[in-house]
Parts: sequence; structure tokens; C-alpha cells
Amino acid sequence: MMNCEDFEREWQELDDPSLFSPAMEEHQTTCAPCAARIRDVNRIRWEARQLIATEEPPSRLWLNLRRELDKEGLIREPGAQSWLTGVLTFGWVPRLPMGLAYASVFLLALVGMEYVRDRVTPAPSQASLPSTTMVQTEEQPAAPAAEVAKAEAPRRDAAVAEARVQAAGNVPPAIRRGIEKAPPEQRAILVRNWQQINSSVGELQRFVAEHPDDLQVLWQLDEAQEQEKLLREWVMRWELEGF
Amino acid sequence: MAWKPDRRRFERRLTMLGIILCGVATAAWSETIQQAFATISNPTFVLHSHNGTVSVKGWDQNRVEIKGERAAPDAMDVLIEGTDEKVSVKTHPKRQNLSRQEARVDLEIRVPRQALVSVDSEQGTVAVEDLERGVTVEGVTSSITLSRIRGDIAVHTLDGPIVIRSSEGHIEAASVGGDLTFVLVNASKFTATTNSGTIRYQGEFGLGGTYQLHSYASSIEVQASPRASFDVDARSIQGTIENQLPLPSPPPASSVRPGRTGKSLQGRISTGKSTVQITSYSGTIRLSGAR
Repeated sequence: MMNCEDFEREWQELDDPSLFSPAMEEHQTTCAPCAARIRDVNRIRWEARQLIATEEPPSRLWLNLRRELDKEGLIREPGAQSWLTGVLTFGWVPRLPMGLAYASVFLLALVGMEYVRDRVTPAPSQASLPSTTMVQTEEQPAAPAAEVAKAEAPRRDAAVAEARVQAAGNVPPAIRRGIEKAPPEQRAILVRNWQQINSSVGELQRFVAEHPDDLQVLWQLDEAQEQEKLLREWVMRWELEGF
Repeated sequence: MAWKPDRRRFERRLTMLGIILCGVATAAWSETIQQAFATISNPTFVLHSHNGTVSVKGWDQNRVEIKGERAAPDAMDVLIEGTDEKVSVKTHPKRQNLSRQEARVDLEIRVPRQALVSVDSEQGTVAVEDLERGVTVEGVTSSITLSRIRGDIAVHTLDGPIVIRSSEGHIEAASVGGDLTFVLVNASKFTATTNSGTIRYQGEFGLGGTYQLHSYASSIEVQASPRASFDVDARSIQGTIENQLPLPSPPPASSVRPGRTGKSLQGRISTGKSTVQITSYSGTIRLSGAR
């Protein structure tokens, strides 16, 4: 029987998040929190798609723009006059302010579109990231491509992370307050790690309850609780002093 | 003839323009930091970095030298204090909601090799090299790389990767979600712990030490060098063990030992000078090399 953590991991590795394996299907029908999380993320993806679909300006905008530029005499058919002649006669100087104004509008629109796209485009799945090899010589660089991609992914996944912060019912209020005060690009990381370590502690506690004589797992539980404490301390720093 | 703008080319040009403008703006607003302190041969150096690239290198001079660049002087404080026994540097935001670029302070620091170094970093990269007394590094998402360090080494991150290479001493590395990589690392006592990052060890498990590698759900990959000599005890409670080590008898990798749930494997490489304990709750343990 699949547990929540396995489900989460397999889900993150899917190229197409809607293509669940039979085990995942079975899990989501029996696990209300995971089902709720799927609904939330699907809703965000749907909204993201709506935004992406409208980012390309309609063709009539280009036609209108062409008409306006024609009217102002800012564009000509190629071959009508050489560019050198145009430059040397300084005929472009009176039209420069208007041209700059158009350029500013374009620039702002482009920056706006890129910003919206960055905010809503989900991160690629872990499965699509380049794999790393274990063998590493002393002179090789420290950060493999996968690590760089791993560091970039949370930023692109910010919208999903925000939803996770809101949807993470198991995050205690004090931790949630700290996470909300953390820099935006750190929030997804904090939530992900909090959920993972919490899940690990829960799983290890269950195992220890069933196998109280297994000292290795008891030791692992101690380590996991220590890491949970460490994470709590980091979050408290943001809560208290903004790091 | 229909007029159709080449949008990609247009975007590329605008991007280039943006990069040039950013470069000009950075050069115009950034500020260079330079300070030096004469010290004893084994001073304490403490650094708290909010965001940026940090490099700390040991050298053969009784002097701490700090060079750096602050991207936005109006956004970040850089507090430097020093005596002959202790030098401290702290970068701190002057206000909230700074962009990454504004919050960036890059630092290049040289300290005596015998200095005791402590670095605390939130974001960015930290590289520490050529120290002989030890180092402590704490990071949140910072990427930490330690090279050629001797002594007590303690590194903890929340999510940032940790790489330690060509180092020896008493080593402790832990991360909740970051990958841990060790290349040519020897220790009298070695502990590597992570919840969800991968652990990779490549080396000879030297110094006759005790090595403990623990993960919760992620894989642990060990590649022993041909000179390695150690006893290994590996166990994955709910995961698997993939062994390619030349252990003398067929390893019981898939057997379930009485009293221990999961997969386990024991064996000796060469004369078994060091002791290696590897545990993962649900991750895969991969062992190879030593041929």
C-alpha cells in the first residue's frame, strides 16, 4: 500500500502529473489530504494555462501598430531609401521621441509578460532533470547541473509553493508565520522540507513503536527529530529577526 | 505584403539591451570593500553572510584580508570588526523585501591557515579552502564546498548541497534536503546525515576511523578506492542494497537477518582498518569500487 510520501515522490517524478500509476490512483481515492493537494495544484496549473494562453498579443495589435507607425512615417518598405541616406539626412531626429515611446511600451509589455510567465509556469519534473554520475575527480566543479536545476526549480514553482503554504494543514501556526516571513524564493523550500521531515519523523515513530528494540531505527528517529528542530530554529530566525 | 515582426529577434535584442543596462547599473551602484587586520597565527574568523558568493582561503600570513563587492550599498550593511585575535564580518539587509541582486554581497577573504573559521550563510555559495584547524559552516540554501581542510569540520544546511573534498579530521555533515558529496575525505570520526538528499562518498575510508552514513529516503552511493581497507555494515530498512564490492563470500544482500528488518550486508575489504556503517530507511544503498 502506497503511503503519502511515496505518492508525493512519484507524483513529482511524473512527466505528466495527470498520468497516475494504479497505485497512485488507489492512494488518492483513499487519502483525503493528497486528493486535496492534487485538486489545488491542478487548479493552479489550470489558471497558469489561462494566463499563458493570453500572453501572445492578438494579431490585430500588430496590425494597428503597423498602421500607427506607417502614419508616423517611422517605417518604410525596404528599398525605398537606404538606411545610410536616412541616417545622414537626420530625418529620424524629429521622430525619435515617438519611437522611444513605442519602444518603452514594448519593453514594459515584454517585461510584464516574462514576469507573469515566471510566476505561473510550473517547474519541470525531477525526472526531466539531467542525471549526475557518482564518479567525480578532484578538479571537477562542485555544483553539477542537476544541483543548479534543483536550485532553480523552487523559484519557478513559487505559485505552487504559495498554495502549499496555504494548504499545508500540518504546519503549526508558529512555523507557518516564520515561513511567511522568509524570502519568497525560500518559502517553497521550507515547506517542502518541513513536510518531508515531518513525514519522516511520523513514519520512523510508527516503525519504532512496532520494533522498540531496533536501535538503528531509534537512532535514525533521533536524527530526524534533530533535523526537525534545526529546521524549526531556522524558521524562527525569520520569525524573530528576519535572519 | 503583410508586415510580421520577428518577435524572437526582437526579444533577443531587448534581452541584450537589458543585460547591458543591468551591467552598467551594477557597475554604477556597486561598492568595493577592502580591509585588512594583522592577527595572531590562529585567530578566530566569524562571517555571517546574507546573500552572495563567499570565498575563505587560508594563507601563510598572520593577517586577515577582506575584499568584496556590495551590489547595492543603500540596501545592505556590511559590518567589519577586528582585533588581532578575532575578526568578524556581518552582512545584513537595511530593509525588507530586497531583490536577490540588491541583497548580494560577494566576499573574498584570506585568513591564516591556523584560523578557526565559522561561516553562517543564508543564500549563495560558500567555498572554504586550505585551513588546518577546522571550520564550521551553517547554511540555509547555500551551496557549500570545502577543500583541503584539516581538523574539526562541521557543516549543516537546510537544503543546500555540501561538497567536501581532499580533507581530513573529525567530520560532521548534515542536511535536511541537500545532497552530500565527499571526495577523498578521511576521518577519525565521520558522520553524514540527510533526510532527502543523496549521499555520495568516493575515497578510501582512511585513518582507521568510524564512518557513519545515514539517509531517510534517499540513496547512498559509495565508491571505495582500491586502497580502501574497512569493515562495512549496510542496512536499508525498506529500500534495497546494490553491492559491487568484492567481498570474500557471497554477500547476503537480499537476505533478512534475524532481529533486523529489511536488507542488510556485512563484509570486510582488505584488512578492515576502518569501520563503515551505512543506514537508510527507504533509500537504495549502492556500493562499488575497491578493485
